[in-house]
Order: sequence, then C-alpha cells, then structure tokens
Amino acid sequence: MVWNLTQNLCVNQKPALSYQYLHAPYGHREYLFSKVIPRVRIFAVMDAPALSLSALAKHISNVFRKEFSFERYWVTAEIIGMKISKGHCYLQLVEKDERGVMPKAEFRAMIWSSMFDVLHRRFMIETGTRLQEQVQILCKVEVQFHERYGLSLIVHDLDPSYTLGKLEMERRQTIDRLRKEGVYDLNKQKHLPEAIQTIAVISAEDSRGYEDFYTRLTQNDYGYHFNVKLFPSLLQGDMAAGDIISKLVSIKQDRLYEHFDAVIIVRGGGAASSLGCFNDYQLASAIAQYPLPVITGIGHTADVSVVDEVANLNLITPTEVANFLVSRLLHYDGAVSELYDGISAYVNMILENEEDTINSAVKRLNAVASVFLSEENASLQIQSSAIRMLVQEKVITEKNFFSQSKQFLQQQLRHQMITESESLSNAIRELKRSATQQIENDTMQIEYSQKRLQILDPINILKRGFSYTLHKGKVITDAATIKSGEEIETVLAKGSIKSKTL
Amino acid sequence: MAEKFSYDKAKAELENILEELEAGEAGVDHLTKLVKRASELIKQCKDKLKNTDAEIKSILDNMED
Repeated sequence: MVWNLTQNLCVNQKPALSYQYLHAPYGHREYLFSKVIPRVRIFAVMDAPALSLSALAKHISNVFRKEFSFERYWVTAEIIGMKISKGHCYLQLVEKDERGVMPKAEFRAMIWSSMFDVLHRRFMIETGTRLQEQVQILCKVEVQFHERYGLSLIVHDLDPSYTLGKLEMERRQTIDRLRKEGVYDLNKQKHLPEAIQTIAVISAEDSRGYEDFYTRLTQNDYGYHFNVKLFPSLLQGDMAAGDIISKLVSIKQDRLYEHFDAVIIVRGGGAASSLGCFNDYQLASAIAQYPLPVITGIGHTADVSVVDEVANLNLITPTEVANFLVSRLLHYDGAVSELYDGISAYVNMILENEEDTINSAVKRLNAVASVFLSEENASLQIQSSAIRMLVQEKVITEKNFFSQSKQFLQQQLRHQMITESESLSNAIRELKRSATQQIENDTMQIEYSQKRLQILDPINILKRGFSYTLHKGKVITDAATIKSGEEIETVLAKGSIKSKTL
Repeated sequence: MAEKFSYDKAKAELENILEELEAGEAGVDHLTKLVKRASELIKQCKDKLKNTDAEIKSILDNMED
C-alpha cells in the first residue's frame, strides 16, 4: 500500500489516485498503517497548566515515536526544492492540485549521505535524469519529529521506475499535444539536403560532445570541408530549454541563415546528464516548427526525448551525427559521380548511335553515288569520244590552215628579210663610209692642229736661231728695263748664256 | 685618269689652246705648258679616232654576217 501525502491519517481507505498509472503493483509493500491517532487532537483541547514549548515538543515526539517508529511508507511527491550539504540531500516535497499549481501538501525531507550516493546513482542510471526540481518521485519514507527541527521525512529508498513512468507520461502528453496541434511531423517532413555542408550547431562550446563532433566532422577521411558555426548554449538545467530556443532564434537572424543546410544539436551523453530540457514542450514545439531540418545527437541511449522525436533526424551521439554527415556527403559524392558516369555513358551511346547512322548513311550515299557516277561516267565517255572526234576534225582543218599560212608567212618573211637585209647592208655601208669619212676628217683636223702646233712650238723657233733673255728669271721684252752691269741669261735652243750688260 | 675621256671636250680644249698660241699672247713659261697639253690632247684624240674606227668596223662587220 502506498501513501499519498494528502491522504489523511485515516488509512483504512484505499490509496490515493496518484500512483494508479504505475505499471508495477505495489500491494506487496508491507507498511500498512492501520491505526487512528485521535490523541493528537485531544491534547489541543485539554484544559491544563501551560506547558513549555520543549515539553510540548517532547510530548509530540513521544507520540510520533510511539505511532510511527519503524513504520515506513511509500509516498509519491514532486521535488520543488533540493540542496546538498555535507553529502546530505535536503528536499522540499510537494503534492500539487489537479491544475498543478497550488500545493495540497508540502514536506521537508532528507536523504542521509550514507544513502544518497547509492540511491542517486541508481536513480540516474535507470531514469536518465538526476534528482532535481520538478522530478516526480516515489520514495520510501520514515516520518520523524524532532523537538527542534519539527516534522520531516527521512528517505530510505527511491523507486526509479515510478519517475520513469512519470517522465514517460509527461513525454507522451507533450507528444500528444504536439500531434493535436499538428506540428509533430513538421520538421520530419522538411527535406534533408543530400549534401549537408554548412551547419549551425547548438552545443556547449567546451564540451566533450562538441569536441568529438567537431573533430570527427572536420578530420574526416575524405577531406570533405564543412562550414560549422557554433551557437553555444546551455544543454541542461532549468535554463537550457529557453537558451536553446533563443539560439534557434539567433540562427534565423544569422547572416549565414540562407546557407545553413541543417541545425545540429549535440551534447555528450552519459547517465549523469538529464534529458529534462529535451522533453520541454516549448522547445520541442519550436524545433518541430523550425524552418531548417534539425538533427539531434544528445547522447542518450536509455530514452528518446520529445526533441529527438520531433527532430528531422535523431542520432544517438555527436560522433554518430558527424559520421552521418560525412557518409551522407560521401554518398552524395558517389551519386554525383555515378550520375556523371551515367551521363557520359548515355552521351557516348548517343554519339555512337549517331555515328552508326551517319556511317550507314555514308555507305548508302556511296552506293547511290557510285551507280550515279558510273552512269554519268559512261555518258561522259560517249560525249567525250564524240567531242574528241569533232576536235580531231577541227584540229586537222586548223593544222592545214596553219601550215598554209605558215608557208605564206615564211615566203613573205623571207622576201621581207631579203629587202631589209639589203637596205641594212646599204645602211651599214653608208654608215661605214660616213664614219670613215668622219674619222678621216677628224684625223685631218687633228693632224692640221698638230702642224699648227709644231709651227707655234717655241722650240722650233729657237731651233731657227731665235733666243730669249731672262733677267732674274723673267723674260725681257723691253731693253730699257735693264741697267748696265746687271746679269742676264740668254736661252737658246740648246743651253743658255749668262752675261753682264755694258 | 678618273675623268672619262670626251673627244668633243678634248677637241674644244685643243682648239682653244691653238687659238691662244696663234694669238701669240701666251708668255714663254706658259707656252711650254700649253704645247705640252696640246700634244697630249692630240695624242688622246688620235687614239680615240683609231679605236673608234676599229670599233665601228668591227660592229658593222658583225652586222653584215
């Protein structure tokens, strides 16, 4: 039997509704509370001397010990406050009303450090979430009253499957709501580009998950290049969902927005991390309606979050996302190559066909042409032999005409030659005669000139006994120019005489 | 003899010299020079005539063939 916090102490009634959805039966729980405790109220109305507060506390403590000692109850509650101090975990537990707003009951609770580590680790492994605010739990508690600290619950055990069931229910409710609103499938219907190369990544900048993703993506075996723009965000805790939503808005406003092929959300996994924010309705709704395809790799093997459900593609780990992007690009590359090969094969086929067509056309043409040619050839031969005969006749006629003309011309020429030759001979003779005449004339003139020269030559005059006289190298033509006693030189035909005047 | 021999020029020069000599105006010194030049010109003219005669004869004889 399980207790609900609001259940009054009249415990013979049936257990509260709050765990009805649980799959596992809890009937075997042994802590059946069967006693009514009216005395608590009785003290309040007793007319007695005033008690000290501690005496009252002591009294209450006694009652509690009597009524509750060693009794333990399975209780469902929601954590609304939690802190850890010196290894002890202090919880504020609440049960809210049907609208989930007003608390119907609220208790302090604690888990001793000796229990906490073990319980919490098992809880995280099984639920995929840590103990934190807003988590619904089923816990086995002992009710304790302390004189100074008052009433509190000591948690001795936690049942993770309850929380898991709660989470699953919330998850389903969120999914149902998204389906009803018609947005659940929207992102899935987005076309995921064949080649995803420019991506907006929402992740925590220094996280292991992002590092794995980035390294695997950028150092791929094929040398593919990826443009990665990181939008750093919180990925767990209360603020995470809101932060991721604001990053989705930033991506839309980014100057690269038009170029982004997809949005990638990656986070390193492990049981220690919580899916919490990824089941958030607002975030899931934003992602479902996001205009770019969203790929998640938020590292959770245990469970699939609502965000994973509505995303275009859900891969488990950041590394898997990177591998997917690389292999998709490789596939695309291959497909393009195949297309290319296909196109060239097709083109080759067309070309070969065309070549064959042309070749056969050429053959046909050749055949037709050779028939045509041989016909033409034959007719040409007939024509050409006719022409040849005509030409031969013509040639003979012309030859005769030419030989006659030639003879006539030869005769004419010979006659002309003789005439011309005679006149030329006459001309030559005349020329010879006149030239000879001319030369003779000239010779006579020259000879006449020679004779005149001989007459004029002073030597000849000197030879006839004439002489001339020089004074100081100059010819004397006037005797008056010479004084007596001066030396003069008389030049003869042969030699000269030097003398002095008287 | 860089200058090409011209019979007409030579004959004209010879005539000038003879006229100068016949005028008797030349001095004795100059006279000798003129006579020498005239003798030269006569020799050149004679040679030219002789050559020309031979040349003409040879040309005309060839033409008669």
